[in-house]
Amino acid sequence: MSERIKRVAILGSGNIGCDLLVKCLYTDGIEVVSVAGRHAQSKGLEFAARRGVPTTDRSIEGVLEDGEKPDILIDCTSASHHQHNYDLCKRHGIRIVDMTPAKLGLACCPAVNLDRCLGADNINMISCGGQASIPICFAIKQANPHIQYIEIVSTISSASAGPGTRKNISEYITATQKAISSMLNINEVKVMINVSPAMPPIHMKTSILVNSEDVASEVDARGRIEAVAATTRAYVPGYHTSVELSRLGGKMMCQVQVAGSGHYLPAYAGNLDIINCAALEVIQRL
Amino acid sequence: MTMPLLYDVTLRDGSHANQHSFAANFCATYIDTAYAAGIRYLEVGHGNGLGGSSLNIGRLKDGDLWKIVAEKAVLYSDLRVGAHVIPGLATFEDIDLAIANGVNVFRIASHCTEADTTETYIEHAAGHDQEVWGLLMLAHMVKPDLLAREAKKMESYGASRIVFLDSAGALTPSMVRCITEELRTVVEVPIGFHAHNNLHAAIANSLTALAAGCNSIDVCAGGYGAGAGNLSLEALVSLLEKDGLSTGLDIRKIIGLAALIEQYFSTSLPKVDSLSIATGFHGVFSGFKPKILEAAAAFKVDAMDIIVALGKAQVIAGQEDQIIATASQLSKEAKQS
Repeated sequence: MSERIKRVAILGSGNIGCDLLVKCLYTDGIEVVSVAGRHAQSKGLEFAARRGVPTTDRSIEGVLEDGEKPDILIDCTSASHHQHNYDLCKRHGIRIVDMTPAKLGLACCPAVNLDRCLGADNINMISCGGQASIPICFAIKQANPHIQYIEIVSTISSASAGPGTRKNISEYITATQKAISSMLNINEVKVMINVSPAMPPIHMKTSILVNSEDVASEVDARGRIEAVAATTRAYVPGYHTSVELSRLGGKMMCQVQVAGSGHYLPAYAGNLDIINCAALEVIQRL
Repeated sequence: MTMPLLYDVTLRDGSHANQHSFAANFCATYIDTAYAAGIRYLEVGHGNGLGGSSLNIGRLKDGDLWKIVAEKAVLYSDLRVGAHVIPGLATFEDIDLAIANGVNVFRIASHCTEADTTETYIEHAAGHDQEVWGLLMLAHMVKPDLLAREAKKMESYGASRIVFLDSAGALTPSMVRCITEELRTVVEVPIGFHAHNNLHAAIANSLTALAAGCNSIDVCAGGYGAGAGNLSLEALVSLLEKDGLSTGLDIRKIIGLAALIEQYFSTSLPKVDSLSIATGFHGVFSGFKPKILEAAAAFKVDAMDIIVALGKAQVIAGQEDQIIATASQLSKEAKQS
């Protein structure tokens, strides 16, 4: 880890951007030089301004106008805006950490491939469901290298799903599928997501399902899952297995639950927390 | 009352009854027979629609279903072939593939409080000039005014009809009347209803919906659908005809469709049993029934306890994994006490 203070700009002032801002303010070695949005009246920009952070309502153009450019830009906009943001960052020599399901950067899950991502100019954080499931998929794949099918089902609370999330469901599915498939070299990956209106809001849950015949040893797989869950917990404190790997006829399932840190949204928003904790882990190592 | 649009969901909702194992050649026979009987709207596919095939919900056994759909869509040019689409299971690519195979009605469905998850999907299908309906599932879980607010959103995204689904068979006729009246006040597009028979109320609820102003009804031959089944097509048509409404359908062939189902699926015909009453009373999704039985056996817990816990936790369609999590938790608690 370098000693120098990292200058970070947060692009996007929705739930993801605000939660990341709080996390960055709590972290030594990171200075948030700008939070950018598109609407002067946005709640998120006001939230940032109240914390003494410079803000702009002119999106990435506003960030780049400043004399001293950030080292890292965190893109919390949406998949359709990411290409434009990436092009501008490349031109200015700014590294980009992408929180959208745009599929342009190198897909990163810190528990699995952080070291291999550190040289990339664009690091993609995949999705909340990706961050929750990839460590478990990795453990199962390690124990059973020939596995060809894996499935993940995430349920997030309605209260934690902002408008961006709701408009990007198809992109979320395809980006998460592609990232898991290529990162772990698994032929077929099926991704599903539910938005639960249950009150009080539930914590984020992600289930991982495989064909029983693909798992050589249940005990071995369980041990590896617990080990990788502990690795993940080191940067996502609320991450734990809620159902240990169980066999039901032709399928096996395990489930993880993610309680959020409660930085910006309450603890139910584990989905917000896990992708942001993962991004923070990356930024600290850059 | 004018003749309602009958939307036949046998080859989609019936998939729940036979663990998503409709064979392509059976679907071909069914579509031919239904068309000859006068059915002009029917839906095909996995019980949870496009993208539903999974270990979580159940794998679709016969991948050739789409070939049959493509063939029949060409053969019967006035047949409207529908697909059920739940954002979160299906992707835009699934919709595009269905269009390529001749599907021309897209029923974009969300849980009754989450209509805004359908916005981009409705726009995607409508953007390809398809007929697009908006469906609100598990409609018993929310008050009529809130349901109408969600319906209004779907209408604003471009849905040309709103259907409310009693996915748990948990509504009573008076609730159906209130919902229909509220929807008719708030929404300008036509309204439809989809019944389940968990509490033996599919017929009563559907007749009430029609009387209150719904003008489309989802039907299944032999009531063949999830859990205790859906509204029986042949019973509805018989009742409408007896009341003097000319349905224009061939009643003998309509009853023949039910006979076809009885002949092929004698071991999975829907019935109202203790479990379906329990799911209806506690408002638990009808399609969960086989999964509840599977999890109860695997974790050696009482299926009834699982149903009560799922109802209390307000678990929705698509959360099949939560049945296993609930059974696992109940089993842990039993060991501790």
